Amino acid sequence: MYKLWKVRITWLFWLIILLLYGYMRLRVLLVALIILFPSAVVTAQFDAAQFGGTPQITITIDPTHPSPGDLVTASIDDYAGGMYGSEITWRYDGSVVESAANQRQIQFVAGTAGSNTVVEATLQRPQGGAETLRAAVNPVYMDIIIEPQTRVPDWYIGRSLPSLGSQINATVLLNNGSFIDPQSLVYTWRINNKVIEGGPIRGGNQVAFPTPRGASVVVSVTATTPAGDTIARRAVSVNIVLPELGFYEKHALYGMRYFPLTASTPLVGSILTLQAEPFFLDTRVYNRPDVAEWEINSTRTDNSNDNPYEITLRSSGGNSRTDVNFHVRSLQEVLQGSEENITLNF
Amino acid sequence: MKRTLFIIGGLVIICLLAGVWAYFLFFGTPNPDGGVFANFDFGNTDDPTVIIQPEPEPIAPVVDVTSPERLRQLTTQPVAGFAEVQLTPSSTPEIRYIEAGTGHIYSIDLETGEEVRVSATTIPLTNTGALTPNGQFVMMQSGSGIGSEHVIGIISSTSDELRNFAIPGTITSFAATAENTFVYAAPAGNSLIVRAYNPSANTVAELFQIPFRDATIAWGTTEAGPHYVYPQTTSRLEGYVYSYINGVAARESASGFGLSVVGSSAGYIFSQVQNGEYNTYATNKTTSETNAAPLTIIPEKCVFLQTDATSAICGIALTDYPYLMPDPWYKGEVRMNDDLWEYNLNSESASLLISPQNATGRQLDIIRPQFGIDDANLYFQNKIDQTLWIYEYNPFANLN
Repeated sequence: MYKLWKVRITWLFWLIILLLYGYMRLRVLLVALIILFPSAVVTAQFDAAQFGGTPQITITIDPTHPSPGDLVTASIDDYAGGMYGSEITWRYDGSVVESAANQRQIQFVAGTAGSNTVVEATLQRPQGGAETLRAAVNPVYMDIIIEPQTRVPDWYIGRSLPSLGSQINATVLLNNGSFIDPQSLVYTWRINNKVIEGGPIRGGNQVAFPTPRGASVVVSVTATTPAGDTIARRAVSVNIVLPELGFYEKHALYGMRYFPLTASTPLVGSILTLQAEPFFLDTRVYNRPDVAEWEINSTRTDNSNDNPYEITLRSSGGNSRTDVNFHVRSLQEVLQGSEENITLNF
Repeated sequence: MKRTLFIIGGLVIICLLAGVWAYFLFFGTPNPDGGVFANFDFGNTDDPTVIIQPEPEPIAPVVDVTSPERLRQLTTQPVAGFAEVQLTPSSTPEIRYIEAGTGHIYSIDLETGEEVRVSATTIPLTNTGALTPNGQFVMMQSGSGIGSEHVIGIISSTSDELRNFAIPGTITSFAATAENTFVYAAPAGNSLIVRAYNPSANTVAELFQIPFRDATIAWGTTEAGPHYVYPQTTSRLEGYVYSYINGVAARESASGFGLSVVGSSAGYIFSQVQNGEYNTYATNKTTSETNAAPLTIIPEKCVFLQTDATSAICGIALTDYPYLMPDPWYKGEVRMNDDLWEYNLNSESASLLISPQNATGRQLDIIRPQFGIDDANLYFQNKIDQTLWIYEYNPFANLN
């Protein structure tokens, strides 16, 4: 009864404040009232605990939003000790789990995508009476696909990797048996725990952001319904690399040889077309490099080739050792670049 | 005095020459088996074992397809694409291949070994290609990067001229299907659209959409699939597997770093980096079980049988794999020395078929394995020199 009156008084208090504010438009009065009656606000927040109301016992699920096949732990959350001495019976999808009798937690494997698994714990209290706690598990695949906008050779079948300053495109796909329409959800993206795109975005399952400094970047995303219920949440760590450079032989007829040249690679013939292949260089830098220089035996060479990454070498006869160096770099972002050297034996 | 001597000497020489002429005129008739001047009496030089063959007629080169060896090299030049084709239901199967660089198409008769050029039309810088099982159509990629072009060719049965036309737009991946059509993926915004092109009817049908761009597609043998799709592989980023059957996507349970996949309707084989090790697993869709494979496999080196969806043939190197796999293999920094193994999803076991190193003395880094009609022959390329090879997997299949 006391609790009920307490709530009524609190509501009345706030109603008076609003009426006063609406009619008089006096903010000073509002502040003064809050200063004068702080205890009313605080009391409203801690009402139940302070006056001996029964603390709520719940089941917590870890991980909160599991993927299909994940190992899930369901625990009885009883921080106030309200279930002391109770007999506990666990049910998984309606079937009693005998091995988990009187255990405070059970473990199980999450079902298939889109399935709905109900976990129940029945508490038989020593003083009589029973309480049944329920939790539902709806596994959803949440895939975060990272697509760095850095350059790899056309013949390279692997994915590119992000390097400092380059753009990263990220896509999140939710699947509960079929792809969930991105437009039906609200996405909140975080890069190194900072929200991007200004906040949650309806249908925003794809974002682009520049690669920050550091060895790695943590990309996390939360998907919620428009009503605010969280469907899934996930974070991935993405390694940041430095651009690399490899030298490959380009055959006039057959095109690129798929093995990098090394000092021990035997070269046949007196003419060699050499292709410098940057890996993981920002595509913008690759297309418009500030520096793209070849050096032959430590002498800078004007490359007459239309392609700055390609050079044709001609042997002067006999066995010759040639040091070839290539350097590509952006002058705005100096870590966007690479320099490599190779010794060729004609 | 001197002049007199010269005249006398000249007369003597003239008389001698006249005498020699007169001797040969009356007594010196050359023998029919050799002229007098040619016969220096060195003994009999007629060697009956040396037979001078008549000038040979120009004939088509012949590839040894009748050798008892089950593993043989079919070409010496790099190949851009290949397929075992059967022009009519009653005709002998033949292997057709596209020469890298030129785009010329050759055909090798699998009974006689005769090789003929069926297309002499040059498509410069051809590096990838696919042929339909009826041998009538070809799709080729010419060049690379932004300047690449994709060409559809119609192979003539009467001339070596290839009628061809380019497909507009960018294509990231393509393959031929058992329906004699081509399936291909084209970028559209931040996704890929997969279409099927029927060259006989000149029609295009949209099959499905992939909601991201950097996708690798392990194409199925038919338009319906299953096609296995996953983000392009790297050991440093996570990948996920989606299968598309009749245009409907399903998320498969496999995911992980360095993930790549090959599959059939019965299941799939995938490899990934886990706890610093590159490991292989197999998922059997019938039992919904995933188990570790007994050997480490790069899935791109595998192909499932058409006649038994639970069995796959893989090129496997028995070596330690770096934890960054498969990136070093993609870059060409690592060369494999593969053996051919057969892996079965049901028995979860692998058996050795042949060791090319032992059989031929050659190191083979197997790529693009592909079965012929009725799984009789397995074809693949050697990544090291891009040449085409054949392995008679089931030599009796064509006899049934």
